[in-house]
Amino acid sequence: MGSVRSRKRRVVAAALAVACLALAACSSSSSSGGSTSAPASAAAAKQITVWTASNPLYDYQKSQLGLFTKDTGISVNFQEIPEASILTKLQAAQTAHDSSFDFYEVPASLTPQYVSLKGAAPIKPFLNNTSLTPSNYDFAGLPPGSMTQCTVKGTLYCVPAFGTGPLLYYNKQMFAQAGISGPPQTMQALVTDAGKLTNSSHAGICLRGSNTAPNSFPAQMMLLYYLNYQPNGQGIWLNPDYTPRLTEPAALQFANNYSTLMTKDAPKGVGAYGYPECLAAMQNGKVAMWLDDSAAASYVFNSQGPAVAHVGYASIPCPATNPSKCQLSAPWGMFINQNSDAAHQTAAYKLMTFLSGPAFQQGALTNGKIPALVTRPSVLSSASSVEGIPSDLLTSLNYIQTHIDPNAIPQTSVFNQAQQPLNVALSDIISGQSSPDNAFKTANSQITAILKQSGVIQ
Amino acid sequence: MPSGQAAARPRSTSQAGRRPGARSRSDRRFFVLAALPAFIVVFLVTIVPLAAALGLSFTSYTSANPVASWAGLRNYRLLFSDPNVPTVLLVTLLFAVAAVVLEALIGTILALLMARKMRGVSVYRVLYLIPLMVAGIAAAVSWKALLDTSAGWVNSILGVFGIPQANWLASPTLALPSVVIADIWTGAPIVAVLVLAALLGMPEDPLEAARIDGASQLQVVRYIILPAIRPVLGFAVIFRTVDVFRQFGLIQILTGGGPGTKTTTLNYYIYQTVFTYGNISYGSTLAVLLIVAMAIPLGVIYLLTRRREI
Repeated sequence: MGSVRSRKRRVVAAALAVACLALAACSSSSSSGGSTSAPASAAAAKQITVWTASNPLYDYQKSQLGLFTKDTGISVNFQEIPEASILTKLQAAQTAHDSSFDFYEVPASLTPQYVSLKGAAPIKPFLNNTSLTPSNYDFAGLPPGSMTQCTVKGTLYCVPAFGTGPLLYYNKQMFAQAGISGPPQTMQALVTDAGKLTNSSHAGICLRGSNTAPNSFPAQMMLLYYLNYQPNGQGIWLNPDYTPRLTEPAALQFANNYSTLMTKDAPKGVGAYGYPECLAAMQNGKVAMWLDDSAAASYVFNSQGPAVAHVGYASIPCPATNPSKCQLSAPWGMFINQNSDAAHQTAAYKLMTFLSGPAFQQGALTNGKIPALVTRPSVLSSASSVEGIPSDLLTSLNYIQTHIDPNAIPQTSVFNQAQQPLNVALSDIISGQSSPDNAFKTANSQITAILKQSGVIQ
Repeated sequence: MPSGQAAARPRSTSQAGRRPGARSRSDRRFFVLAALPAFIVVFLVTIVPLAAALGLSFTSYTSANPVASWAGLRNYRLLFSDPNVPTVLLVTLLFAVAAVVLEALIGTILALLMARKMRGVSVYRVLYLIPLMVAGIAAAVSWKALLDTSAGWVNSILGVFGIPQANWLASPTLALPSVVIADIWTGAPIVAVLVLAALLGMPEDPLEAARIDGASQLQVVRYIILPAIRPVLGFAVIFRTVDVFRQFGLIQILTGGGPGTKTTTLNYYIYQTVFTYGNISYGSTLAVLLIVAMAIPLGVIYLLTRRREI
């Protein structure tokens, strides 16, 4: 009897354990959803969830959601996730085919990755549905160059969330004191001016120097001014066959100029600088110039730093080697989660047209004073002046949007990995561990090895 | 009851036929079954991911192409041709040796100080153990602010005394020592807590006897205290070695693995490979290498500690 009872106990305990495991397995698999048929024709859901980065740019989006709800009856659960972790979170969610969110904003350069994970819904079926797309949406008004990164094998998967590119922030007062009449018009002039502007009280220029910043972002902005444009090029420093170009004379000239700027004319410790450090240096008058993304502009002119009143904004005109496509634009894109059901995808598309439409962008410019949220050249050019926004900034932003290099970021996720040797090379140049020529030659061979190993180079 | 009568009393039917120890065997079976769910959970969250990583290391699996196609030993061959691997292994070794040795030394000294019977010692204990209460990321952000070249407190204070201000986080020679110092700030108190517990549990008699025999404080520490706390110190060293190999937040915040690869440890390189570059199968291969790399020093430490006990 005793052994029968204990056997029964064993069976019950084992059954309980198995039941727990089965329950866990069932609950994890129930999160996968997904629409497989005609999402563009479904009625919209009444509530959607948005995942985006916690960034002041998106705070303005959040502030306008009440208008969207009033217009459409769709309420929005707007979740802002720290920028440092949203990509990891999204990667895990997409791999798990998570449908707990419907709309997300991430770098458009990651489009191929999310497409392969089947986490990004094609946009065209929605665009072609005239009952969903507002008549005044003006899809053609979005810059084609910025849409390239949203396109994989001819299919569009996102629209840009903001429009940015390389912008030169410069301190007019320091320029006047150094006897320089205006911002540099070429990269060589930038290097020369940085030398003239460096003194004991401030540095000549700030560029992101830290590996994680990454330092290659402003460097690639500058490389577009050195390397000649190739219509079929696979990225800023890749040939049409994906072989790297870092040993070309123009690239080596850039490396040497970069070395001069970062070792002689940049703030001490610039090797550890990221975007916040350069921004703070500009706001506080510690540097005379800062070359970086134009998204920082509203943080400069809207801030209270002692040097803010003297800051001017300029785009360095495209060189003869690349006269019309020299601006590196790496915007974040607005995506619809393909794992959501049809009703939620439709509602997410409605939000997409609201946030990328002309009216919202006009409001972002005139009321929100956030020009970075404007991706439409028509909105920028219609506003020759906006109270509270410097006119030279508007002019520069218009120049950026009309001179975007559509091939700057190749549509392959291995490009991310291929940038790592470039990050290291730039870091080695800054710290003096390697000469510019050697650093770029080493990076070139390492990039070639990475691209060969991944099968991109045959 | 008078002796002898107990043996004559008939046994109850429930005890009839039960061998000595059978009841405890039944209890053991029950305990095993009761522990089974917890064991299954632990198995699922440790062994299963480990096995999955090992399996992935023989495949080609990236975030852009999340299909685990068989790749054989290609990832392991890549380990030998990847120019970053020797560098990150060296950085990991230097970081581990410097951090663990200094933490063991400083932690032991702190514990010896905190074990003394003096007025206000509890206040000192709280002060020295404050780093344990600070979240790792918060500590890393604070250290980044302290070591900032142009606006950090460390350089500001050095400037007041006319000492040259160093490029702590961006200099190829100072970046790794800066990370080590920041790690010691949290690691040494952990060693101190463990050693302090051992010290407070030590019997007083051998110490009293030694002092009566005229031993100096240094001799007491060297010949009585240290041998007595060696097992705990060994455990603390193993514990900190594992933690140092796993260190991520400090490196991410302070240096991002730079300048160049001067502070890129193997663990940080795994993060970059998997999450930044999306090469999950190669990252799994590096994780296997990390386990092997950790096993060697841990095995050595364990053997050294064990041998001394014998």
